[in-house]
Formats: sequence, structure tokens, C-alpha cells
Amino acid sequence: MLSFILRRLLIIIPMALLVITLTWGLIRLAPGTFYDTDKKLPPAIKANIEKKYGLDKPWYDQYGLMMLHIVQLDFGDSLKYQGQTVNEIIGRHLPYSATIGILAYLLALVIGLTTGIIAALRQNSLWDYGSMAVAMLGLSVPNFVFGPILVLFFALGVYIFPPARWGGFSSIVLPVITLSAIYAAYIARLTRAGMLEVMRSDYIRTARAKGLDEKTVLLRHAIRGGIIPVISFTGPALAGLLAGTVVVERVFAIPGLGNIFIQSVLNRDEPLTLGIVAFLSILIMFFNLAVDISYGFLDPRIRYE
Amino acid sequence: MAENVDIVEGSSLWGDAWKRLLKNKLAVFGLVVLAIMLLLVVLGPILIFWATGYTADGIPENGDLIKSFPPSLTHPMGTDEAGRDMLARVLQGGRISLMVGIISTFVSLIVGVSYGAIAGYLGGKIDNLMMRIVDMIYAIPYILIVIVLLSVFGGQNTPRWVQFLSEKFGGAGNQGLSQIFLLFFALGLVSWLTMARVVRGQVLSLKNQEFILAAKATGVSTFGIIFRHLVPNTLGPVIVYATLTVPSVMLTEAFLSYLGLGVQAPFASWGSLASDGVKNIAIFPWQLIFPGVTMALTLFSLNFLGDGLRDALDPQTRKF
Repeated sequence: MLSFILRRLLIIIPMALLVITLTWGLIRLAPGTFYDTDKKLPPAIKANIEKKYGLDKPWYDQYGLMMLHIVQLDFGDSLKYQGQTVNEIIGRHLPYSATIGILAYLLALVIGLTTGIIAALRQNSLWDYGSMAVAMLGLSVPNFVFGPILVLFFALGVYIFPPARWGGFSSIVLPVITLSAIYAAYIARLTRAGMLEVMRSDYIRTARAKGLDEKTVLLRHAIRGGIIPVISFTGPALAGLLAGTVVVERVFAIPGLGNIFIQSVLNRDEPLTLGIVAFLSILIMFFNLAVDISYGFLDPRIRYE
Repeated sequence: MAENVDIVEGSSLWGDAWKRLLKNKLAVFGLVVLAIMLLLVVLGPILIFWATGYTADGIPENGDLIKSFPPSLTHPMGTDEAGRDMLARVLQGGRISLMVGIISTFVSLIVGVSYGAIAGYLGGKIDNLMMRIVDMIYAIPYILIVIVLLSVFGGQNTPRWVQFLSEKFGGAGNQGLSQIFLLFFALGLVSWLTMARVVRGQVLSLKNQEFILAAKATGVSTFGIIFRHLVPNTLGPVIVYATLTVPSVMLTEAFLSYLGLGVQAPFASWGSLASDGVKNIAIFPWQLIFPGVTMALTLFSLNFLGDGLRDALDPQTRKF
């Protein structure tokens, strides 16, 4: 087990470097630069800018220099936000995205697991059909539509929560609900399918045959196996939270990382894009590792050598 | 004598699956809604133009009419701020939205199935390498890939065949439309990863079976084994997954249009109409309600159909 974790931790480093390389290649493929303006720059100024940022060197020198800094976790200065390092920018905007993202995922877990388990236990009941139809609706409405509808009712209709801006608990209620909707819907469906599969398996029959009461069978045995699909979903969900937060950040005017990322790509702000991609990809790989480790605890049949 | 023998019809896999699908009320509902939607979207804009003269990008000549009217008898879905008939726009937008769903899914299908089948069949080091590449592309935010694809191949650099296709569908000399076609391909090229994993898993479990051994023994080439013998046998899960890819690429298109990177005026898709409508939600709610509900209903039906197909095509996971 320990050597499995160590091996997976070590492989994160080359994987992250490869992701950075691919991203760098992608950015360089796109035409246009960060110093593009509407007017054509005089050649002397262009040459000066290129010299200052080392763009006059051959590409392999530029790539080598960039990688040399990145392995020391130094992503350099942003090209758009003058005088600010990439690390500062990420550090400043991450807390907003992280707060909303984590709270939304927790809310989605609570709603999704409860709904999914009840739906599976009362299969083909009105609750089952009703909750799954609502879940399907959650998957079919874009969140840039869902968010403003919430605002219309709970901020402009009856003033319960502020429509936008960051500050205090009440301001994060609507963004968190908006972001969690699609994940809650997904988790409810995964939980229901997983629970139904497990409830038919032999080890549940054994547990019942031992004379355990239904509550113990459910809580001690079935749930552990039944939520494995949900655990697997957590890795990709985390990746999706980035794209999801962009919309929520725009609708509710929150200064999060998602918007900064989109802007950095559109501005050709190479160091900032690379920094955010590197940070996110490492985070995703860590989460995938945590997910793989948790399988072993949830399902005793899974072993790692 | 042979004429008198009763021929007993065997039940085929696809026949059985079709029967199971028809028993699923929700899936049939989805199928019917989708069929109606397809018909409306294909014929609707032509019929409206014939009956009233409204088109999706027809701004009225009378200046007094250039404002957003609520739904009325002449405009059942109201008009947008430029006085354009919303019904015509929603139907025209449906063409683009459904084309996103179909073309992007088709692209992801071709790439994902070939990639997954080749990796799974060749196995060993090649498989390992190919799947690690998939892992890595997973770790790059897809939006970055879409933006780069759109900017590398956009404008003057649009590949000839993309222009050719958009001219075939929408008439010549339309730069805007070829950009939308480029978007279809870009979306397809970022959504094949899960398909590749699904197909690889299927191929891994199939490749050691006798019929593949038989094919090898009779000297079928590797290419032939992969595409003639293995790929057709993965069709069940592939169809199911493709049905679920359609709503997901349509949502992604809507998201990109919301960011201003997708379909842009004068063209419309359900996503771009909804994101325009969101801006005026408190004043002109009909600008959001009609495209939003149409889109949600379509995605709803696609999801139900996908679920129904999964239950129908996978006899092992009987209907729960």
C-alpha cells in the first residue's frame, strides 16, 4: 500500500511537467501575442518587447528557461497584470473559488447521497420517479440559466440573499446552490444505480442471512459498496468545478480563479495560464490518488500491491 | 416440400433491445419529443417564412417595431430587442444546437472509437502510452484546447474542408457559418476521451475470445481485426455513450456561447439565445423562457433516451 502511494506520488511530477509542456505548446500554436494592439507596433518597439521577454531567443531556449523556473515553482510575473507574480494572483483568487467549490460539492454530496439512497430503497415508488426526474432536470438546465433564475426569485423578488458580490455567509448561498445543482443531480443518479447494483449482490444476501437487521445491512454494508461510483466521480467533478465556477463567478460577480483563467487564455498571458494549469492538474492528480486509496477502505475486495 | 416448413424467427440482439426500449415509457417519450423537435427545426423556419415572412435574422423595416414585444398572436414567443421574431430564432437556433450535438458527437465517436480500439487491441507498452496521453489531455482544461483550436484554425486559416462543409449546409461565402462549423469540430475533439476509455475496456474483454483467434488464423490484417471484428462488437456501449455525449456537448456549446466564444449574432443557437435572454431576465423574461425551455426539454429527452438505451442494450444490467 505504502509503495503504491509513493509510486503514484512520484509519477505526479513528470506527469505535471508533461501537462505544462503540452499547454505551452498549445499556447504557442495559437496566433497572436500578449502585446498585440489594434495598431501595428513599430518594429523597434516590437523588437524591444521581444528582447525584454526573451522572445527573440530560439524556442528551445525559451522552453528550457521556462521549465528551469517552473521546477523551482517560480511561474514568473503575469504579462497582463504588471508587477504581480503568478503565485500572488493564484493565492489571492483561489480562496474564493475554493470556498464556493468545496461548499458546493459538500452540499451536492448531502443532497445527492440522501436522494439516491432513498430512491434506491423505494425503487419504482413515486419518490423514486419524482426525484430522478428532478435530477434529470438538473442535468438539462445550463447553470447560467439556473443562477439568474435563483437571483430573480430570492434576491430581486423576495430579498433574502444579495444578488451578487462577495461578503458574509448570505452572499455565498445562491452561488453555492447554483454550482451544486448539476453535481447533486449526477451524484443522486450514480448513488441510486450503485445502491441497486450492490443490494442484489451476494454479500448483502449473506449479511441478511446472518440475521442482521435491515438498518445495519444498509448502513454498514450496502452504502460502502454503493457509493464507489460517487467516489470515482469526484476526480472529474473537481476538474469540472473550474469550468463551472466561471459561470457562477460571472453571474454573482465573485473574484475567483475561473474567470482569471479564461481571461489569461484570451489575453495570451502565458505565465498565468501555465501557472493555473499546473496548479489545477497537480490538484486533480492528487485527488485521483486520494480516490484510488479510498477504494481500498470502502471495498475490502480491492487491494493494491 | 421446403415451402411448407415454418421458419422460426430467431430473436436478434437489436430486435430484443428495440422491444425493451419500447417498453420504457420515459425513453419512448424522449424519442417522440426528439422526433417532433427534429421535424420542427428542419421544417419550421421554412413554414414560418412562407406563412408570415419572418426570418431568424430579419429585422423589421418599420422603426417602431424594433423593440422587444411580449408574446402575442403575431409573435407567439415575442420578439427580441431588434424586433426579430423569437419563434423563428428559436427554430433556427435549434438547427445549430442539434447540429452541434450530432456533428460534434460524430467527431468524438470517430476519434474515440478508433483510439480506444487501437490502444486496447495492441495492448502492452503502446496501450499504456496511449492511455497516459488520454490522462494528460484530461488534466488540461478543455476550454484552453477549444480556444486554441478556434484561434489557430479560425478566420483566414479555416481548413478548406470546413469551409466546404459549411457551404454545403448553409450556402457559399459565409465566413460566420464556417466559424460555427469549426466550433462543432473543436467540441468533438475535446469530448472523445471518455469514449476512448469505454471502447478500450470493451476491446480488452473481447480480444481474447475465439472469434478473434479465428480471424487471426485466417490471416485477417490487424486493421481488419480492429475495425471489422472488434469495433462492431463494441457498438452497444458506444451507442449508449454517444447518446449521452449529445446533451453534454450541447451544454458545452451553451457555456461557450455564454462566455462569448461560441455562436455569435446574427447566428443563434439555443445556448446563445438563452445567454442573451439571461441579460434581460427581469425585463423581457420571454427572451429566456422560450429558448431555455426548448433546450431543457430536448436535453431532458436525450438523457431519458440515453438511459433507456443503456437498459435496453445491456441485458446484464436488467431494468432496475
